[in-house]
Order: sequence, then C-alpha cells, then structure tokens
Amino acid sequence: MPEVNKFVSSRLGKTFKGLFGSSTGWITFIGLTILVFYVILAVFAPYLAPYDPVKRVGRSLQPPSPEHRFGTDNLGRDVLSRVIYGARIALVIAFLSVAIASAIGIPLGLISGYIGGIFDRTLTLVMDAMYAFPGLILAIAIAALLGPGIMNIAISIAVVYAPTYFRVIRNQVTSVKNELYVEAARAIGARRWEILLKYILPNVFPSVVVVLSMNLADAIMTEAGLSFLGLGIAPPTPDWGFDLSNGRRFILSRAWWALLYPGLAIITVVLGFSMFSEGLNEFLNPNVREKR
Amino acid sequence: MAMVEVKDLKKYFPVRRTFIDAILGKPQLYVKAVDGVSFDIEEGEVLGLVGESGSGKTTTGRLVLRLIELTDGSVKIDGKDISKLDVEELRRFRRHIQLIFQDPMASLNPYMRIGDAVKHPLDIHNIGSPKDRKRMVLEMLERVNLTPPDEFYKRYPKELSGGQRQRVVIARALITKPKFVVADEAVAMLDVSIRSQLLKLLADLKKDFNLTMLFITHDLATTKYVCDRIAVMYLGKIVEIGSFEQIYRSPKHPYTKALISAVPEPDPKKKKEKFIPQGEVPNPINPPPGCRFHPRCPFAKDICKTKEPELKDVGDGQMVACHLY
Amino acid sequence: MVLELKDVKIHYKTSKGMVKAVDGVSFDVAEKETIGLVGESGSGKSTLGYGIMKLLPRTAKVGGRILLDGENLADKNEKEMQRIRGAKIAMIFQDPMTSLNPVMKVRDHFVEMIKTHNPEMSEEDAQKLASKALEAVGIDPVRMNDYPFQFSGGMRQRVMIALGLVLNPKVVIADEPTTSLDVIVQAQILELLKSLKEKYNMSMILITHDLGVVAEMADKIAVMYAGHLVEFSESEKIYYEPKHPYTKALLESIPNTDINDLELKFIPGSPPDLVDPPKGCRFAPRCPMAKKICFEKEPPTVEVNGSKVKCWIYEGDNDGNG
Repeated sequence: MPEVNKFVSSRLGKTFKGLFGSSTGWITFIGLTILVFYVILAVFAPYLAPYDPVKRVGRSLQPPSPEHRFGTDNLGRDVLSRVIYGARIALVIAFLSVAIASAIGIPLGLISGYIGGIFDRTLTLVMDAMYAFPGLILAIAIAALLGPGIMNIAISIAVVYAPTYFRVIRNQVTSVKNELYVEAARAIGARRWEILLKYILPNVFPSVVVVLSMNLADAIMTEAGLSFLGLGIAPPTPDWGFDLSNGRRFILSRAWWALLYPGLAIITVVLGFSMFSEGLNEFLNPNVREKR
Repeated sequence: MAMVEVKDLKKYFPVRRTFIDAILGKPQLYVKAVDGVSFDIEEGEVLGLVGESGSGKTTTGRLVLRLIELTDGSVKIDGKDISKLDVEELRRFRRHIQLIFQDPMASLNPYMRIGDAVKHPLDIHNIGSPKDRKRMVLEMLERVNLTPPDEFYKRYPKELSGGQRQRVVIARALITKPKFVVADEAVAMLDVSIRSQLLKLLADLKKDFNLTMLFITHDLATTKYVCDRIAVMYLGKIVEIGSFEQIYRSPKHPYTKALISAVPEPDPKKKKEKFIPQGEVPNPINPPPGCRFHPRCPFAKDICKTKEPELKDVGDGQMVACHLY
Repeated sequence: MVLELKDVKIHYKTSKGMVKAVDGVSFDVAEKETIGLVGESGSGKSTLGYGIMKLLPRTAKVGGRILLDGENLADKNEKEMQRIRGAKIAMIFQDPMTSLNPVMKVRDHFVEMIKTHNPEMSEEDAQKLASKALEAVGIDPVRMNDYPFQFSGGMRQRVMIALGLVLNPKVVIADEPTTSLDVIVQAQILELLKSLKEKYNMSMILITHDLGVVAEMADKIAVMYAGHLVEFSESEKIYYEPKHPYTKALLESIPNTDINDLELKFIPGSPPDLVDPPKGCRFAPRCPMAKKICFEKEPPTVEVNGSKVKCWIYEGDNDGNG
C-alpha cells in the first residue's frame, strides 16, 4: 500500500480527498463522471458515432432497432449519432460563452468594486438593467440581431451572463476590500494593483469558479432554447435544442425517440454540471465546508 | 526631538444624514472620535494608549499612521509631517511606519503563504536582493520563534494557531526595520497563556530592535511589561499621561483608578474594594459638557459639569486633566 | 447535588479523525454553587458547556452521564431537551450580538422563550415576567420595544442574562460572558452576575479562559487542559495551593496590576492536537516537572488535601525514575 499512501499525501491526492472525501462527495463524483462522459463523446464523436449525423442513413422516423439504437428522425438521420455530435456544439458554446462572459464581467467587477464611487454606481446600474431583463429574451434579441453561427450564439449567451459575474465579483470585492488583510496590505505600502491582484482577487476567485460551473449548465440550457426557437446553429449541424424542437413536431406520430434522446442529453449534462459545481463549492469555500 | 510628535490631533467622522434631513437643513452631526490629542514618543520608547471601546484609541492609532485622514492637527514622525506627504511619498514612507493588528485571524491574506506575507513588504520597498529577502524572512521567522522557519515559510495562515499567526503579523511589521510601530490590541484576542508568550516576545523585540511603539490596549494589566509611559483616553481625549510607575502607583484621574480597579484579580482573598463607575461610555456625537467623565464620576463637582479640564502637570511629568487637582 | 457530571466524553467526527474534545470529565455542582470552568481555547471547556445543554452539532457524540436533578440529559432527545433548556438549565453566550435575533424586538425574545415553556401563559403575564427580569439586570423595561442592535455591548449582555434567568432555571451556564467586553463593563457584568446568583438561588458554571475572572466569583474552580479535568478544588485552594503544574503555570501567566511583580512568566509551547493527543498525561510535553511515567500512562485523578488532581506527582515515587 505505500503507493496509495504516497498518492494520498500528494497534492493531487489532497485535492481528490477534498473533492470527494466529504459526506456529499458522491454527488461531486457522479457530476464529474457525467461531464467526463460528455467530453469524451464530444472529442471522439467521429469514432463513436455509428453514422454521419447529417446524412440520410435509413428510412424516416424508424423506431430504435439494432441498426439505429436511438431510431431515426424525420429526414432518416441516425438519432444516436446526432446526440453524440450534439455534445460538441453544446460544450463548445457553453465554454465559449462562459469564457466571454467572465472575460467581460470579472475585470469590470473587480475594478468597479474596488474603485467604488460614481464609476461603480453607473456600471452597477447598467449591469442591473441587463440583469433585470429576462435572460432568454435578451439572448433571443441579440441572437436575432447577430444571426446564426457558433460565435454569435456564444456572444448572445455571454451578454446574458456577464452581469452575473459582474455582480458576484463586485459584491465580493466590496466586502473583501474592507477585510483587515487588505488594510494590512495598505499599511505595508502595497500599490493599488498589487492589492487588487494579490490580496483581493484570490479571495473572490472561489466564488467565481462556482458561478462559472453553474453558468455552464445554464448556458447549455439557453443554447438549447435558442436552437429550439430556430435562432441557434444553422441546420443541418447536429444540435440538441434544434433536434428537440424538430422531434416535437412528430410526437403525434408516436416518434418519441426523436424527442426523448436529445432531451435526455440536455438534462443529464446540465445535471452533471450542477452536481459538480455543488461539490466544487464545498471544496473551494472552506466556510461552507466547516459548517458541519 | 522626539521620534513621534502628535499635536492636537482631531478626527471628526460625519454622521450620515438622511436625504430628507439634508433637505430640511438639519445640521451635519459629527462623531468626535479623537478630539485634541497630543503626545510625544521618544526613540526607543513605548507609549501605552489605554481606553475602552469608544475612547478613540484605535482611531488615534490609524491617524498617526495616516491609514485614515486627520481632520485637524499634525503628526510628525522622525521630523516628517506625514499629513503633508502625497500618495506616492506616503506609500514609500510606509516602510518606516508599521502596524500590528488586533485580529491575527483577519489580518493575514488566507491565500498567501506565511513566507510570502512576511516577504511582501521587502518586495514592495525593494529592500535587499531577492536572495537576501528570503534569508531575511527566515531570520525574522526564527526571531519570533516560528521554528523551524523554512517549515513555517511554506504554510498558509489557516494551518497556524492564533498565537502563531500573531507572531507572523509581528514579523511582517518588523521586517522593514521600521522607525515607528503601532500595536493595536496586539494580544487582546489571545488566551491568557498565549497572551503572556506574546507580551514576552514584544518586550524582547523592543530591546533588540530599540522599538519606538504606540501600544494600544483596553487592558491596563498588559501595559506593564512593555510600556515606558502610559496615556489613558476617554471619549476622544487623553485624561492622564505619565510614566508607567506613576500610573500604577499613584493614578490621579478617577477614570484611571477605575481602569486599574477593574482588572480581574486572581487572588480570592484580595477581594479589593472595587471602584467601578456606573453606566457606559456616552455617545461621542454629543459628549457631556465640561469634563466628559463627570456623569459617571463619583467625585464630580459643579465645575466639572461646565468647564473642561486641561491637562496639568501634577509633578514629575505626570499630566492629568481633572478639576480635582 | 443539582448537576452531576460523571465521566463525560464528547468526541467529534472531523475529516482529520475523531477529536476527543472532552475526555472523561467528572464533577458535581451543588445548589447555589458557582463553578469556574477554566482552560485555554481547545481545552474543551466550551464544548463541555454546550454538551451539557446538548447544543452540539450532530457530528458530536456525548458519552457518560449528565445528571440534572437525577435526570440523565445524555439520554434525552432533542424534543425533551427543548423542554429542559431555558426552564431548568439556561445558557448565557459569549457574543450577545450573534445570539440574539437581530430582527426580533427584545420583548419578542422573552415572549417566545416564556411561551415555549408555558404555552397557557397570557402575553401580558409573559411581558410582566420579562419586565421583572430586565429590571433585575438594570435595564429599563421600556426598552423591551427596542431591537438588539439598539443596545450597547454591555447592555446586550444584560439582555442575554435576563433572558437566561427569566424562567428561574436551576443551573445557568455562562460561556465567556465578559470576554468580548471592555474591562469596566466586564467588572459591571461580573458584579451583576454575583448579585443575581444570590437573588435567584441558582447554581452557575462560569466558563472562561481568565482565572482572574472566576476567582472573584466562583466557589470552586475546575481547570481543564486538552479535554481532561486536571484540577478541581475550592477557589482559594486553587490560588494558594495549586497542585497541578498546569494550574501553577496558568496562575503565574496572568498579567496583574502589581507593580512589584514585573517578571512575565508564560507556558512555553502550545496545547496538543486532540485528534492524536499525547499518550500519557496530555500536559507532559509542556510540563517542567514531567517524569518518565507522565509520557507513558494517563495519570489517575487523586485527592490531595481536598483537591482533586490528575497528576502523577502525587502518586508517590513508584515509577522507578524519581
């Protein structure tokens, strides 16, 4: 067992223990497993998918069978292959939009919270106005304006979530900047940017990571919603939201498979992100962790 | 010339008015947290500043380091009037003036290793080469009895006990060899036995570094081991100042007497006749007229209610602001 | 005896392992008696106080017997405890700001407390009771309509005390009631507690890290170190004839106002980790008088001149190391 002991005392081992060692560790574990599963699907889609997802490979609306495990859609495309390829779009857009949103929201929040005053007031007002707008409707408006395409979708989702980052960061900064250790930094003569980067940022970062992982789930939902409404990726690119809306039209013809599998994919991946972020929250926020 | 000269220091915090009050033209009220405080500290001397919460002792400590801006008066450190320095000059000057905080749990960045925290002042003020800095930090950690130092260098604050963290805070304050240090309730948050360890450390460091220090505390009993002189504050004013022997042996001001008598006595037979004033420190927005202590003072005379007493020399440099003398 | 603690053990489950916060503590509290429970942070003194009230998190396991008027509190479930807490045994907390609900008026704190135990009592009677309690602690009953934040620290602590006494409990546990207060207010509160104790005929456990605080008001003092009760005796004996080396060291380390006593003594080192405490006596690594056996075997509790001491020194020189 020395190998095991060595691992447990290593840095990676400690992270593992921190993530999964708590009483709710199994939630984190399931969440992470789901995410890894979808990442593998997305990366190795060409090897895993049995058929080309955009080509007619069988008769229309065939129920699940050994040739087509998840059945075929109205254009005779293999639903399983479309679900596997769909993971690509979903994950790419999710990560891209969250990256853009945080790239806007985090620096603005940091500066706004630290400087305060009229600059902060104005920015907070603008962000709150954006935040007050129903998210999906804002995304629809922007998506309609920008037109389809991966980047455009990502941008329209990012605009919806940037205010979240801004608010979380700004509020954290306004409380952290009153901490004694920030005054201590001032007392030893630290420059403002040093205080911001060395003393404030590390202390607000954990809450960002948690919001980030939760937003990934939201972004997938929003993207599916946009595609569902026909504002997403241009067909025939495989996309869960689009397939969901497409499959809905044939539910009366009892073709439940065209609707069920994309829907299941959305639900499980969102669940995966949520479960993982829950565990991450506990791991990164020691206060939550120590409260029994 | 004294290392620290504080003259007629004042800090009035404006009380927030509601919008409606401002429109109705109600006068702006002020909390007179510090209201005309003067003292000198000689090089190598430790002045104890004693008072209850609301006395203005902590505000005074922040003011003399210019962590907050003063309303009036002047603070000279080593001949330099620090209220006249611009932002960058002040930042550079901070290597000479340092603060030891009350709460060691809150005054260390939880995401910064101990070594980096103690080293940061050296980085900021560009003292020594990077290699020297690490050696200086290790020496300082050893000096405050955080041994083995290279072990503590790598740790995070949460892995340390309260007493150990306070040692880190002291190390960080002393690493730049400051000319003047303010210790704000440096041992208040610690257990009795740890408190004594820290007091011993401060007393030793005072000798080693020839520290000039303002030692702020609410507990008179802790001043004994480190302070050369003691100033007692009440509601923004110094009511008595003298050598620590004078204050201990012959306290003059009734408030000073009360502070001494309030110190818990472990000897059960010495159940001394206690002199405890009634009530609590009044609101500093509207302090009592005359002597600010008179509503709680058992010896108050008529003059105490109307005329504010001045600090007077009552012999051998002991100064008291009280109409009884 | 009003309260008897028999071999009380409180162990916590943490991610690092079992923390033996309180490990076999026994002492009795007689009627109208005040016991000072003294120790450093981590000694288990507060855990013991919370354990008697059964206010511990679920990860804690309470062993041994806690007999309040012959009833074993260790066996009681949460519902039964709710009926006992406040009525028979009350607690005064260290920080009155966080233990009073900020959005509830002081009056409502009292009414809620009284009604939990006497549901049939009218609101008026409850308020009368509350007025009386507030008067007893020196607060104008008119201030019942105020919120906790409108009181100063000392006044809030008085409210807490009134709240603890309103149902006239037999035992009051005061957990560091003056630690967060200034010296003069602390002295006022101690005076108040002393006078109330007589007026209300109650027994009290005063938990504190400051021996000076308890010496002035306790009849007996229990000294805890690292989960063990190391010495238990009358206050005067603790001060004049401390038996345990830890008690001696603790006494010497208290700053006093005696100007002729300028030598500052302190206990070197720090208390042990309670996940993996020292095998023998838990104080041995810091003890100036430690012998070989102290590191090997846990010392028994012996009686020396009326004091109970958990130390090997008083067991004769039978360890062969002398």
